[in-house]
Amino acid sequence: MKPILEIENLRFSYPSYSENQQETAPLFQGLSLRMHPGEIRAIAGAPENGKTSLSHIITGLIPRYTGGSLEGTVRVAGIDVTHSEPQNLLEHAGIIFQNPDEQLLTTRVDSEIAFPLESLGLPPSEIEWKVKTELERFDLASMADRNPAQLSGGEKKRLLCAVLAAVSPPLWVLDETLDEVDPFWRKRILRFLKESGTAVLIFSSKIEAAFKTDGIRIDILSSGHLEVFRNEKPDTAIREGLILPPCQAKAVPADKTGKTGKSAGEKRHPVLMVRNLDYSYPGNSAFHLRIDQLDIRSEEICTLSGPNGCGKTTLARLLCGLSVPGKGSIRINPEGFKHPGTQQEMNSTETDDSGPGKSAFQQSPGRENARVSLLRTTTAYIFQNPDYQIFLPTIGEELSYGLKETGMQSDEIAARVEEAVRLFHLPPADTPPALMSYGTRKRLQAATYWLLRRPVAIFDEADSGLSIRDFTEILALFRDTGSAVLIITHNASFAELFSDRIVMMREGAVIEGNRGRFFYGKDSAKDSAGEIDV
Amino acid sequence: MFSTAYKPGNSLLHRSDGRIKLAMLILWTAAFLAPGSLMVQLRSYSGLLLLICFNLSLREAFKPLKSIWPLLVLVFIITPPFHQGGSLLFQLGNWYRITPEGLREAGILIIRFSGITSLFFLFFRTTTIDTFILVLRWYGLPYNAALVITIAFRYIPSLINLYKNIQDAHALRRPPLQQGRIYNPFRRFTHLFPSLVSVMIHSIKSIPSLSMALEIRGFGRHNQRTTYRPLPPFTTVTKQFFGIIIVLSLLILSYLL
Repeated sequence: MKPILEIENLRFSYPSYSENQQETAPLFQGLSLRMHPGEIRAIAGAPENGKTSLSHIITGLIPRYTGGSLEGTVRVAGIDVTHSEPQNLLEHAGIIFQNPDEQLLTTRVDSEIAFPLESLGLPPSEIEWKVKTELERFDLASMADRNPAQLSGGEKKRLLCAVLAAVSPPLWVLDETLDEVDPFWRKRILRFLKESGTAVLIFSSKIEAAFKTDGIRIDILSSGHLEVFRNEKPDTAIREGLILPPCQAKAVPADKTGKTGKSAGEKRHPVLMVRNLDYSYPGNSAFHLRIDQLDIRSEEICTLSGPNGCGKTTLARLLCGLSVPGKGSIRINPEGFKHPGTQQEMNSTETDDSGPGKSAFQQSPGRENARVSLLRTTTAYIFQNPDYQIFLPTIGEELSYGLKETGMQSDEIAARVEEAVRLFHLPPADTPPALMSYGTRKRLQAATYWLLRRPVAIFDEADSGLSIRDFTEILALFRDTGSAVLIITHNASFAELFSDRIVMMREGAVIEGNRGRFFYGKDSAKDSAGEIDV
Repeated sequence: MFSTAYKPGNSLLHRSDGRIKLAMLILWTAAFLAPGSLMVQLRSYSGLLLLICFNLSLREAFKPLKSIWPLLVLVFIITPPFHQGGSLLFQLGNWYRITPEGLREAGILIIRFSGITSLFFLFFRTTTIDTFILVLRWYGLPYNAALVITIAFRYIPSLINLYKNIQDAHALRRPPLQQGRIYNPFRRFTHLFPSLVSVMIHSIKSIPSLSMALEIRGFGRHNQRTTYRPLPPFTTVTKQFFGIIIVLSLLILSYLL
């Protein structure tokens, strides 16, 4: 059987932006890889190790778009991709980018699927049949006329899977595609890929349990080489932060009082109290968020999970004051704050005066802006897309921006920036964020909020693109400052091991608020597809 | 990722043929640009407002003006001194003189800007981007050029959405409220700057991403491109309707000229 992908002795260096050198250090040093039709392989690696670069080399996008020096051969279906244009590889290899927003081209879901089929020149009747088939396969038929920009992160990735399924190339390259997809769909996508007989190369910053249960070979990308992952000898995976050492992966981390889990959680004061919340998007009657009661407690790590499109991000936006509820209230409890300065400030601001069935925001229109500002400055909301929150030329400027606004002295700012760079494993403070990997940009994004010491921190799919070690370290740093941490994630193992409480959502409502139940399927059984190795 | 001004609906304009709508858009724009009296421009704009109210709503009629009102104010201030004629109505210093002629010219320019903006708004509010590409191709434009034009049109609403997202993100990084502090316009302006820088960085970064996304979906291949959702057949009725519009438009133009 002829291989579908052949990489031999690949060496690649990006061009350098420094005047003193022409190229950066080599990213790959003699990397070789061979895949046959029907083979599914996962390549796990820490951020900055070159996963995205390798995926772009395979699909002919690098060095075409970036420049750089490439040696060795890369062939897809016998075609040398380094001398071929990406559009001519359409029927041979397909890729899903890490950030789906960068890949969506049209303003309708069905047109998105049809676009590459039109490029191939297929007859309209065949395109129509394929679009219909894939819409149904990926449960997108009800969204066919919606703008892809309005879909949730997981739904966008499902749509991109539908696009590839319609084209049906013999090689799929998935760059962190399973992140943000809920466990139910993660399992279905993997099953579909296995049954389709396609060769699939999955790039991931985590070792998903499903890789092992489905018998998928896992390679670790480390120092420019590939190394086979062995469960019995996981040294490289531990070194790269892809799994945690056994001593760190056995229990919920204790809080400062030494208490863990639910018992500790009950003693903590609520910081945010949600009561009878009711919200729907203007012009979208299909979705309705209703939360009767939800408390976010100080020094607690709480996981919020549920199927894609169930309202997790909408709830997060309400909690941090980016959206205003139609009915109900989000009350700030100053007693829950651990930061003395903030507590004093909140005590002097009336926050709890809403009547039954009426929004605390709506009751007094004059106070609406103050309430919104109060929520916004109480909550650190780490967006799914880090690029929305990073906007200054260097890491140092980015980290000091919020501190300068508080009027802090420059020497204290410098000391705190230095501390953040060290704790969040960031490159030197003069590095431009634009040249950093997606995972490093996410660490920078978290560091900017960590410096602000907000009482509540919300991580919206923040583990996407981060290694398990990076993410647990970030959470620990936030909890050590006394913040209440709310994580939106689909990783069941992570949620059960590291969070004090799990809140499940479905169709805009909280369906379970206790620890130990993480489910997606109709039978509410624990779904192994959502697990990662820790 | 793109946004669009299109609002789903079932109005007469939503159901009308895109080819006719585009032809009307061009002709009506030409009519607004043609020299004419203030009353002619006003009648033309009133007709357009009625059309928007009939097909969308009264609220929608004034939506496009929200984005251009600073420009309209500027036109109203700077146009009159350049057109002198008739009795003096107002004078500020030696050079800023307002006469009826100056006000008339300012009125024409304001209606012209408002009219053209509202026309394009109405077109994109009732026509999907897919249809727009097909219409451009029907008029003989190559697919690549049609796609580039539609991307340019979609880029503006996308940038507005991006700006809102980034503004939200930045709002979350501001320091806690200080009791009794008055929010001043200068601070608001300084907060605007980083948001605009972010939008610019995103826009620049999105250029190679967009180009990559297009190429991996087969944009630029040499084979003939097909169409998933073709335009409805150009029936005899449509042809006749098209002919009537052209004749009528020519009559209007001749009246204006």
